[in-house]
Amino acid sequence: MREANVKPRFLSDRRAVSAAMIAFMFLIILTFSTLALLLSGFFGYNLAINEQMIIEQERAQEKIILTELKTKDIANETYLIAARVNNTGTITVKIRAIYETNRTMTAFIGDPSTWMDTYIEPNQDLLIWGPNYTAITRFRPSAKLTLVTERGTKTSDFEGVIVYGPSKPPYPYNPSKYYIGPLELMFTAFYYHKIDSTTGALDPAYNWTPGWSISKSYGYVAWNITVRNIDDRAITINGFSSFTIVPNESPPSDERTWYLDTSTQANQTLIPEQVDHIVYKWRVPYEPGVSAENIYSVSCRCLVFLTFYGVFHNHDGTTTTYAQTIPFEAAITVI
Amino acid sequence: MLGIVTALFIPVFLWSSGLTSGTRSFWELSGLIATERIVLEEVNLRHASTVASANCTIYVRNIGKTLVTISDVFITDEYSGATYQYGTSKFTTSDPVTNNPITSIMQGELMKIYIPPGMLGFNPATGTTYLVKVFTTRGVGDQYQVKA
Repeated sequence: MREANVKPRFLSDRRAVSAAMIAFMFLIILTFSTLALLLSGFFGYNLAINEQMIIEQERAQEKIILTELKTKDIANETYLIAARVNNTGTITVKIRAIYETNRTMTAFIGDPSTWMDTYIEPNQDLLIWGPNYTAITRFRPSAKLTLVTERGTKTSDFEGVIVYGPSKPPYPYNPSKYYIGPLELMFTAFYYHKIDSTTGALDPAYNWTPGWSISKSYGYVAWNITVRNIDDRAITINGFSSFTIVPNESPPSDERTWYLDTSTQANQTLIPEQVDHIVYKWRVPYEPGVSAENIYSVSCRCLVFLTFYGVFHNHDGTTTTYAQTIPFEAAITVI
Repeated sequence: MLGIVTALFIPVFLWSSGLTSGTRSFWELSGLIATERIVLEEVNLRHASTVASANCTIYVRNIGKTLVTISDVFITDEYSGATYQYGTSKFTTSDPVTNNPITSIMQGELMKIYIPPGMLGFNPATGTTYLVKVFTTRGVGDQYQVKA
């Protein structure tokens, strides 16, 4: 009788244990399947990040230089028939595009990898010919030829500079026939200041800051250089005098010029042996309504060229035309 | 009891599987975006005789692992600050080598984006700098400064 009472209770307990076990197993399966799915997604993401890091590392190792252009005269026209590219990086590159930029347009010339093997090993160079050894394009000295790798690294230069070489002083060198500029540049006193884009007024919230590096997207700025007139005659410079920065890399693709601030006085006179500050603000030679110039919105390193136009005031009261270009000794950096 | 437990687990399972797949989709999308990278190689944007004849050509290369589809182009006049937006209806995309229309590019491939005359909406001023930005359907982009 006692056994008969115990048995049903035991069976009932077994069912309870079984349900709990099933619930527990459900939970375990659910947890592990959820974890497996989440981990697979996370590992996929991690793999993608690693792949992208590898792509970036490879791209950082790429560097190519356009070193030579071969020309050929065909039917009284000169054509570029080949371009030599040096791989100065540490990774194999593949040239995938050639562009030409002239005064009227930028044009895609072709993908040389479609007609020849354009892989270049590190420290090697490759002569890239036109399709079937025909011309790449017509030779235009003022046009810029650009070659691009599969990872988007570029090299470009003016066709005339590559073919003829950079301009050189006439030979033999005769110093007596060269005029040395009368403005001495004080390299240690070179500043910029944030200004209003329309009035050119200095923003009182900012100070003059050393000009060797400037933040990208800093906005409209005035440049302040310091010079000394080392001639024995006074010099008057006019509003066409300018401060030009030329980026070493692209982007940005354009040089920018700030013109002399002649908003408060028509010209600026530099007295012999006197140190003067020259301030540049405007994007075109000043006249009412012009705007100031602003700095690039991308990081780059730039060369600086100062160009002066004006007159010498001779001792006999006459004036002589004056012009001078000073390439800055160092580059500014947009960071 | 077994039926009750199973019935109670169904909503829990549905909720957790939805949550998991959502999270997994997020990781997958993040992975796709992480490996999506484009470079603007060159831009042709020059002053034209009239606004109606002005056009723009942009060369975009895919340097990431993800297949790329271009969705938007923005051109900003850095002098006036005016920004012009172009959706897919305002430009065409093609393979610059074959000139065949294409909608997406794989790693290493080049795409030509052409905003034809009449669609540009302004005439680039000679000497003015323009900032050209191109974005993919997942919001990845690149920019290029060009002087008209």
